[in-house]
Amino acid sequence: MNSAVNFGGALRGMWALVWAQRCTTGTIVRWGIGACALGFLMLLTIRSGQEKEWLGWVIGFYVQFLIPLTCLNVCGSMMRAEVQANTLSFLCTRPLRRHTLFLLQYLCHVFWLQLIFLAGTLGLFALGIVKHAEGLGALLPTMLLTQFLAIFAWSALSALLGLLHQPTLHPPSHPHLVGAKRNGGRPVCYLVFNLIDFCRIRAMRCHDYFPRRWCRFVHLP
Amino acid sequence: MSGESITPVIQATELSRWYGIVMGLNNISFEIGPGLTGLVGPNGAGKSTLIKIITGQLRPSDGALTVFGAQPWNNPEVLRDIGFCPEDDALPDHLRARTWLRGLAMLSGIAPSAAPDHVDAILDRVKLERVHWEKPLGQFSKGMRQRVKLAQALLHHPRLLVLDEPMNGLDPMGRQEVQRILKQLAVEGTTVLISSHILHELEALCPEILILNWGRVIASGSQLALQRRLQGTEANLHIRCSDPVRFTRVLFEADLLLGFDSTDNDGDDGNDGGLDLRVNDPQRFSDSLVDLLTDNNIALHELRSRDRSLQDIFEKMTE
Repeated sequence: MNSAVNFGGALRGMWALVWAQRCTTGTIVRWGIGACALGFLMLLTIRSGQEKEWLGWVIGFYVQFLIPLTCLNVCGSMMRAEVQANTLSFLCTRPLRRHTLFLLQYLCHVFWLQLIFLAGTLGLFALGIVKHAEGLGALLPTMLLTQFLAIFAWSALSALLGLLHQPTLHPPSHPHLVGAKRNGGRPVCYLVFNLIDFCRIRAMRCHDYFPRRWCRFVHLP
Repeated sequence: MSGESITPVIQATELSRWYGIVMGLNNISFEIGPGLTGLVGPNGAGKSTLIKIITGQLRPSDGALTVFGAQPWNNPEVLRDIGFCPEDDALPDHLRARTWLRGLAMLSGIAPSAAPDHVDAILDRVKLERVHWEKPLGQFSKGMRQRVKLAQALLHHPRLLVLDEPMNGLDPMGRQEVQRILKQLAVEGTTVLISSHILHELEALCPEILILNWGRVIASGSQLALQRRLQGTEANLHIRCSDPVRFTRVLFEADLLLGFDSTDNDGDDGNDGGLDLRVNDPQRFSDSLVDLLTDNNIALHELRSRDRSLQDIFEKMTE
């Protein structure tokens, strides 16, 4: 029985655990409601004749904001969540090296994110088809490749940030350097401030895409 | 701890572990051989730290600890032979018992095709009723959670099983069942290390014990050997004889008796000749008992120790 642990078998085991943990009824319902609400809001707010700009805006929002934030949330807490739930000992006492365990967690969470965003992107493009946006066929492969690579990269960075803990962290000397601090058990990295900056810039152009009544609460310099 | 000819399963040599300036384990050395061993100590004694080092969750700050001859930290070869049942009641509540155990089984090196049957066999072994197998762990009672934790520790058939408070939350029947399983595992050749506060159960279960206090090993060995070590101080005995009054006087005259109490509630006539004695020199008492009885023509019906239980050993060692 005590044979060497096969990486493929261990990966299947970890995937079974991650899938079961992530795909609870409550989680699926929350994601579904969020996606439907976002899609409905987009359908309502896209101005006629500005579908192309809208698509550019959405893709920017998707790739530069939603993917990094979700990766940060999911992969940044993948090990920390086990620590906080006191369930890490069940994993740490398996016959696996620490780095293998970390790699398995990373790969399984990345795969889960890939599935989520694949569904999201297809939904987004379906929305574009409904609104008769042009050039979707040529854009789709590029979009899929970009998000595939972006998820790997953002998840890797987030997973490494998630390993940091407070005593090892210091404020960055420069705002563009990656620093992190612990907030409620999850790393809040300075990349989030970049994301907020992105939102601020996008909000400045809010009037270009959305009806003015939707933007009246946005006070910009 | 074990006999000289037996290869130790766990061997600690000048083992220390610090948490910042707090010392969890302080330069301890011991050996644990095959069989059932109880790990005893008050809160903060270092039991959990020791268990974490044995199961490869913590690294020693100094010294060495080997399990089956190798250090367990980040060592899959050793971890393959160790099963761990933690004290924490934390389980992934929304996962079903079978799903969780199948995932852990595959992580433990069991082939995905064999994992379902393997998990079913283990769940049968820990006597978790089949109707609960597909229920979320959050709906489990404490006793059922203990069984699932025990099941995950047994998944890969470890040669060393480490259990931290395995009896917590179990009803008497459940405790007997777990004890039966652990004894069976020991018979099959598994080394079992049990940390528990339920001393009378450890006493019945574990012939060997290791007592920790303040991060140090204060006693280790068989219960019998520890009892012998405590001889020479005092002992509490229960005795039943034909003439308890005379026997008490004889003991006083021999300067063996520190105190006594008559126990006359067992016999049908209200007096069975029972005495609870506190003698000050157990060795001299046992050497001279036969002479005292024969010289005074007293018939002895019963003699048994009232202390020297694991509780007593623990209290004496940690006071």
